[in-house]
Amino acid sequence: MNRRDFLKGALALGMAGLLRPRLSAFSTPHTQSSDQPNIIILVFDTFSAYHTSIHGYSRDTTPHLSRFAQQAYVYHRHYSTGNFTPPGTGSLLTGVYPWEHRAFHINGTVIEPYLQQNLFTALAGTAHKRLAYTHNSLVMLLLDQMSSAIDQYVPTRDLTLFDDLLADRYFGHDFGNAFLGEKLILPKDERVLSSSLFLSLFDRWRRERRIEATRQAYAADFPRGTPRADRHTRYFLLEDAVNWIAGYSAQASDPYLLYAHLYPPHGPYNTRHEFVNVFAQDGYVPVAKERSLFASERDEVVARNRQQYDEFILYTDAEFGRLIAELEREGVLDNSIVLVTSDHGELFERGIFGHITPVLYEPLLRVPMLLHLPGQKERHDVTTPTSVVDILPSLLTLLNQPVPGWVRGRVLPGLSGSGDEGERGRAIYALEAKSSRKIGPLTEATLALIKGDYKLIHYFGYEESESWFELFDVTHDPEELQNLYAPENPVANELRVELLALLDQINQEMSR
Amino acid sequence: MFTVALFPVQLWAAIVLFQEIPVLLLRLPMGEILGVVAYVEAFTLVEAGVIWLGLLFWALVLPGWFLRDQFVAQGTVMVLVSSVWAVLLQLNLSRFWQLNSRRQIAWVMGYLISVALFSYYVRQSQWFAGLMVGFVKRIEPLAILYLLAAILGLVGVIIRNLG
Repeated sequence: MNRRDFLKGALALGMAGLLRPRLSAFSTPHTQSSDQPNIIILVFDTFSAYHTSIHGYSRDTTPHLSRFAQQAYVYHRHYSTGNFTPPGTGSLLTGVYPWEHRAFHINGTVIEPYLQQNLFTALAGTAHKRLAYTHNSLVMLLLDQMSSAIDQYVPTRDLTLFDDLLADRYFGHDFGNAFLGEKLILPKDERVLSSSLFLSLFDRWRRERRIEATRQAYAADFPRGTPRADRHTRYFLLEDAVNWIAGYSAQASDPYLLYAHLYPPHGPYNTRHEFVNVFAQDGYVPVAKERSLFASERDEVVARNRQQYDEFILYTDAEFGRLIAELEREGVLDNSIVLVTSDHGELFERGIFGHITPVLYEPLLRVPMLLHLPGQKERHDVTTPTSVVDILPSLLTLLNQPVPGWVRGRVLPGLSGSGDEGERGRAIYALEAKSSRKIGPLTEATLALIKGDYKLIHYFGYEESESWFELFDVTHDPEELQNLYAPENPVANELRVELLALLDQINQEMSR
Repeated sequence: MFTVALFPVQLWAAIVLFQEIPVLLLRLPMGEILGVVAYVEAFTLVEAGVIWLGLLFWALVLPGWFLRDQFVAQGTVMVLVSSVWAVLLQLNLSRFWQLNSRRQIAWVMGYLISVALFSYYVRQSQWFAGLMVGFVKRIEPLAILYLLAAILGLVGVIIRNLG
């Protein structure tokens, strides 16, 4: 059976039925040698809470996530610390903010201390086997830095249709530099000049043929194109990663931490055929918003991409549902903590689409966050603001492990007993600083402070304007339509003082 | 001839590297930047080697009058003409892949015809052949520097991957 037949069969028979024969290889019932729960962390890249029905979106994009929520804590105001992969993922893995771990550039990496201060090292004292997998090269850079504390770092190419990256294959001891070198020598992005005058042309020709062959092989199942990551570096099916996670979980005999950072619904939004144009004629009208200073796209382009993104979420959600059904069937949910979240969101408004932008509006920062505890059967909704830096201390607390002093996050509300609502007035932050230096004060950046009902955003150093603020009451104005910022507004004044004090502190720390 | 092959390869790599240096400076400490540059430099050695071996191969396979008898002059003109076409292609790569196959073939034909014309001119004109040989002599000191940089890059890559 080739991969295409596999997909067709899966769709015809239903994915749960399809997986059964594969998993029957691990036919022993799921039992473990320790009473420590497993931890499964599923990070779906670029998954905006704004676009999920479970968090209030009017398009029904996440029916399976909603079903899973019936046995989970649902954090409705969970914020990433940045609007693209390295800052958010860096914070998830280290429990600190971007100005501390410093992975806030594209291809960003964390600084030295966090090679030994991260999720994987923090679990060194437990019986957990630590596994990691990702489709995303930017996450590969971070996981490679932490790989000394990862027991099984599954090669990205193992769960792809093809993967053109050479750096991990041949230069594993120096992956970070080799990766950046390869991006210069054989870039997969057609907009980037290659430093190789001749051989890159042959590489491009070879890759074009391979891409075309893949496109043709999967055209029926993925009419918009086969899902791919990092421009044209790798092509993959989410199904393969889901099958691997389900397979591993069903046969594991010792407790494990499995960190899976999966690419969808990150663009390109190449959804599976049954989801194509599902939302094309649904009459959805986005809330009209003023164009941003950073707007660069026409409204119809933004609207078309929004629809395709929502349809790609349906595919992501369907595969997530298939995975959860398998974990349920194998009894894995009874002794596992399952955490579903994202590293950042995606924006389709104000003349902007995507996430490479200086703005920090809610669709970019607010990500889904669902936490299932072993055997949990009821749903808990939490509306207190929480941050991605809270994940590490929460997991450690759930495992009765001490929370290291370097962690900035707090235990997620609800986990330390009934009636635990968390602190609504606590300040949490997000930073966009890809144009500032890794070491040195922030020169061009956006810093957001979220506290209680409010979010204050400070833009500075941009050529569009010297420096400005925006203030939104995100509880009562979740669409961020009304900028409340005015120097005479006491809330604005209080938050501005707090944010500027933080900025001073950040600049001092970053200059060290 | 190896230095002739290395010359355009290194020149192009240097141009692209200088474009990228500001971004690298923003994100990486100097040691790491040198690490990245080492890969680019080491690859120029590989690329120049492939071109050089290709020329040797054609010199052995083709009739002597075509390449072997005037190896330096003919080889140089082939490398230079190919370099010009490669630069044109690099600058128009996105557009090239969007062209239909007939136009792509036209590009390739244009390249082959220009190589043939310049090769013919080298055979016909002593002056032009001398110009090519003179060019090789002039770039030699520069090419030695390029070679040194490429070898240093290769050594850097090997050391970084020993750990």
